Amino acid sequence: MNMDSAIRAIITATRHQPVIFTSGELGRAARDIADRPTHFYLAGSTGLASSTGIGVALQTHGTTVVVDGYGSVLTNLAGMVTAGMLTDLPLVHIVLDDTWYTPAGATAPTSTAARAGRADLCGMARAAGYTRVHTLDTLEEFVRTIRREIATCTAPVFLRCVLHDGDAPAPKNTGVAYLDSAVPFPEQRSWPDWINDLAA
Amino acid sequence: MTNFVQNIDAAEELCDELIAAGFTPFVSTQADTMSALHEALDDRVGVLIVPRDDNAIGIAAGMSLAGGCPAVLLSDAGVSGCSDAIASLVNPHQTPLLLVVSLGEEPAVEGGSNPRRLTELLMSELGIQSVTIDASERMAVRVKLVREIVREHLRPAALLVPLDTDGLLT
Repeated sequence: MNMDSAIRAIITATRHQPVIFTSGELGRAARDIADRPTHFYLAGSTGLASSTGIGVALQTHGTTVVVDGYGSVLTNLAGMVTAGMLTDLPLVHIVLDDTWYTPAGATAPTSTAARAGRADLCGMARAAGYTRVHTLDTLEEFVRTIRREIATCTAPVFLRCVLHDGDAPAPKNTGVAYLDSAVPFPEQRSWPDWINDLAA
Repeated sequence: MTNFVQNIDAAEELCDELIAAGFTPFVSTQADTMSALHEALDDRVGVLIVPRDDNAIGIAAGMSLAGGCPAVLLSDAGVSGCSDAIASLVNPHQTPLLLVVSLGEEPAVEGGSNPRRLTELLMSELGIQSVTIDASERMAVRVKLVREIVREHLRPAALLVPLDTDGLLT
């Protein structure tokens, strides 16, 4: 499993659910695979994908998916603490974990990055209060689990998706153009209706 | 010394005006600079307490994204720590949400920046239209202004609440 196959699995499993993608290469890769009105891509604010997803889930009371990277989770562990304390929050928090504290796609991590790669995210998620915590090593396992969790989610769950394989280069950051192409908020504000329309 | 938002009557009035203006939910860290307002809001509609100010803004942005009209309670000291969240999550999308920011009068350290001026400058540079509570005008008028910005024009706004301003308690 690599970042590309994991993102494709998430997009396939989330036709009607809001999905918040973290900033950087992960979000750009997702937008390149399939850009939907139910997607939101952070253009900065590293680590705040979880917070944004918490807000969407609190407002809609519907299952909301957050797609984070290993480094972005480490940047904001407070997001996990907040999700964990909201015991009836329908949040599926997915971390695509290449175990390196480096930008996605970067090569030759430094020794400091390697040490950061040993953080036990699942242990942290359990301690924070997530109801269920999974480590998923294969794409088949991941696809099964994400489908099940999205279908039954009534409390925060945490899926650590271990990326073993490399990816082709992701789309480059095009700066302002990337920001401009993010779905504007006035359209997103009617999100629950969009979801209802899609479901109908 | 009692400050403005620790003054029970003023806090209750601001609480009433914010709720009447349609702001909800409220998100905050456990800051003590607006404890009376915080308590009043918590009694009426509840306040979601989170560990970090930038997380509060992220959550509020998500609520707004999904159609809510949230407000975040911040102290002036917390604003600079939220600069990235405001600059990349609120301003670029003109996320309709309200920041209620308490303004101190004294720098945290001798010779430091004036917190009020610094907050006003930061808000301006971050592209957030701000309205300051002023003792010379009814609170409802100032809250109506931010309500118009957020709820009618669908833009972010900041309501700046001076602490211990001369005349504000009388």
